[in-house]
Amino acid sequence: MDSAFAIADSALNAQQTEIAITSENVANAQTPGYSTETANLKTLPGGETGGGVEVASIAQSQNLMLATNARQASGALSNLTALQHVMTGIQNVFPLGQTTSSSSSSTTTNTGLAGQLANFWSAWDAVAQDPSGSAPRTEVVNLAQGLSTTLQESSVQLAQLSANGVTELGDQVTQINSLLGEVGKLNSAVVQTEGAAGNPDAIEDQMQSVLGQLSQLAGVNVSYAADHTANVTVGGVSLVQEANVSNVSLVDNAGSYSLESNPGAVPLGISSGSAAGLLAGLNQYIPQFQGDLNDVADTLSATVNGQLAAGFTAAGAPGGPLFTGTGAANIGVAAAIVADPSLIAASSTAGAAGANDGSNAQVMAEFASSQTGADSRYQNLVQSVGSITENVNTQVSAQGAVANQAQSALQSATGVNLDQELTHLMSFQANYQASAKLLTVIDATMQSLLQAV
Amino acid sequence: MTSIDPSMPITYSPAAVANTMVEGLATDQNNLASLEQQVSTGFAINSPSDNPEGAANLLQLNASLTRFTQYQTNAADGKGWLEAGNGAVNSVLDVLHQVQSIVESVSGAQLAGNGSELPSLAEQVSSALSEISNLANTTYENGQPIFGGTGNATQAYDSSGNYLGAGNAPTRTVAPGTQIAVSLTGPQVFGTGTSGLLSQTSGSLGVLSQIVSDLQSGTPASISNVEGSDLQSLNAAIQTVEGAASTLGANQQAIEQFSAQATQTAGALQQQLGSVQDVNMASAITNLQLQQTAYQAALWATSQLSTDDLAKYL
Repeated sequence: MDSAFAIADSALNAQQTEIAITSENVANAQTPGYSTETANLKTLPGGETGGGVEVASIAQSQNLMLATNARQASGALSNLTALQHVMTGIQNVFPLGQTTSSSSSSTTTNTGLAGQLANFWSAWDAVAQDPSGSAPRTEVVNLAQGLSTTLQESSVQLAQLSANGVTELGDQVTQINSLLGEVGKLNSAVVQTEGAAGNPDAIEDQMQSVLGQLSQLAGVNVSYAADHTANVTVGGVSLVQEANVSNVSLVDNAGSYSLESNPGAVPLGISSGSAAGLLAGLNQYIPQFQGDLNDVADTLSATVNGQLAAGFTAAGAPGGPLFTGTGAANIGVAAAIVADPSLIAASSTAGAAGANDGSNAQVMAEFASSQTGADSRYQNLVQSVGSITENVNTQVSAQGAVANQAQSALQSATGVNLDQELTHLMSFQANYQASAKLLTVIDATMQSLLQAV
Repeated sequence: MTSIDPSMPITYSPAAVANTMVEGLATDQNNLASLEQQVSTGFAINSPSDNPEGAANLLQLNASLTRFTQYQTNAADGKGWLEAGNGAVNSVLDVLHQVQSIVESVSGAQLAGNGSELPSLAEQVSSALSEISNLANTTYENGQPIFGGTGNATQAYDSSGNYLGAGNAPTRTVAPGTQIAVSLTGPQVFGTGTSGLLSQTSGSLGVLSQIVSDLQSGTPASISNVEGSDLQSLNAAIQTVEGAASTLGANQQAIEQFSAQATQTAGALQQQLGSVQDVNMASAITNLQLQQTAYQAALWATSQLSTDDLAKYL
């Protein structure tokens, strides 16, 4: 009879533990990184019938392969998303400049740099029509100033984009370092808990959550040691080994940015996570389009100044340059011409014989159609920005689906299914009631036995 | 840490389902936003990444359109010049024909023994000369002398009939790489020196001044000059002016053709631009409605997500 009591008691204990585990699962259904726990029951030895039941262990439905997949997919997505932000920023610097909604009959004004260029060239024809008038010349000067302002502003916006990227990258490095520190602490905690024969599941869950965040920032590689500590490698450089943590620092090498380990100063070959996307934007795309913009500015000033040098001012003197400075950031309009537009070399004839000559301006206007001119270079720039951005957009949506699927697969394998938990709960409840009933039956049997004595 | 029991079936946790639904909603929202932008702006391409090739094409078409609109303006301006030039040259011809009939009448008047008419004839030719001098200084709307070439901004001839201009007649660009002269220089119309119409410099009198001078002197020798060499020079000068009139007329016709061509090209460019740039409203609005329906369906499905679980029935 004692053994019957003991068996019923063990059953009650086991069911209570099961209910506690279910309760834990339901409570953590939305906790990031949480993996469903299940109790492994085991028969207790004892006597001929056996000694009842016990909870041998609490299993956690970790799935390392799916977790790694999900981490890698989300790291790749963060990489692309960060790049997408940079590219969208670059693209916004070069608006198409459509201002009016047009049916095919109405005229579209074009206010972007392309439109300004077209208007600039047209203004030279107006000078050719009235070489001795001052209004068309003033218009050329105004449009030239507008062009140089737009070029300067675009250049400043790109520089600002770069500066913002560096600030963001700096913030991310801070976050990466704090997360790496956490991994180190969790590693020590795992060792301690297991040393004290405790259950490290909760720590493992936290670890998964931290590693997930770290992957989104820097695309980590994780390997597990025999003592269940996580070793973290970023871009081929080991950063966390048990409780030993190296930091990451951002290095600015004359405008080319990289991450390296600190201490050690080993460059990280980072290729995933938002830091990788930002680095690509900062090191590759922003400089590329800054360069293309400079090329547009330099081509414009070389074309215009070159043609002006072949011409003569209203007074018949050799022509001087209209644009000054090199690169989009420094382009400007010559102060002498701003002060006196008659110095624009519209004439092709030296001396007084060219007093009413606008043929040099006429030649200038035809540069609008040049296949190698500033206009076509700017068109190439816009097409290039557009195709890279389009490409990144496509990749983001494709990778988004991949990351989402990987996350769903992980969730399905390790996440909490409430229906399942509640079904378990009902069966545990029934079992518990049955065990309790058993106790009353044993008790009643005991009573009748005692009364019989 | 224990790994998952391989015999356990894959279950779909609500979190996984929610993930998928949120992703679906985000995609729907993106599509919706893009369609809404298209409908509200009327542009199929709102940023270069919508269609990189199309965006570059659009800039190119816009630039060409601006260029061809400018060609139209250039042609209109050139046409104005040519009309003014043609008008002036035709007036010159009228005046010259009057002079011609005066000169031809001289011998008859002389035969009738009526020499007293000569001063008045000289007077008439002299006033014709000043009329032609005025016409030679015809200016366009903005004050540029149309027969001054590119050399003078205010005046083609001074009061003694000396040419002040220089260079060739101005041209206008009316098509890529095509320039048309919108006038002729003074010498091309009025000739130069003694064979020219306008010179009043003694020692090298122009045709008209020579006639005036011969009529004024009235000697038999000078009268026979009027009938002979003067009339010949006058006829030669008239031929030059007629030649000029036909050149200007031909150029005017050419510039009108180019203008029509530029207008046609601009129209074609505009149409091309429209096909690249403009959204097809009918299809965009239909798509927008379809997308809205899809989005609403997805929203509804999401709203059903969390309401159904076992807890409700326990």
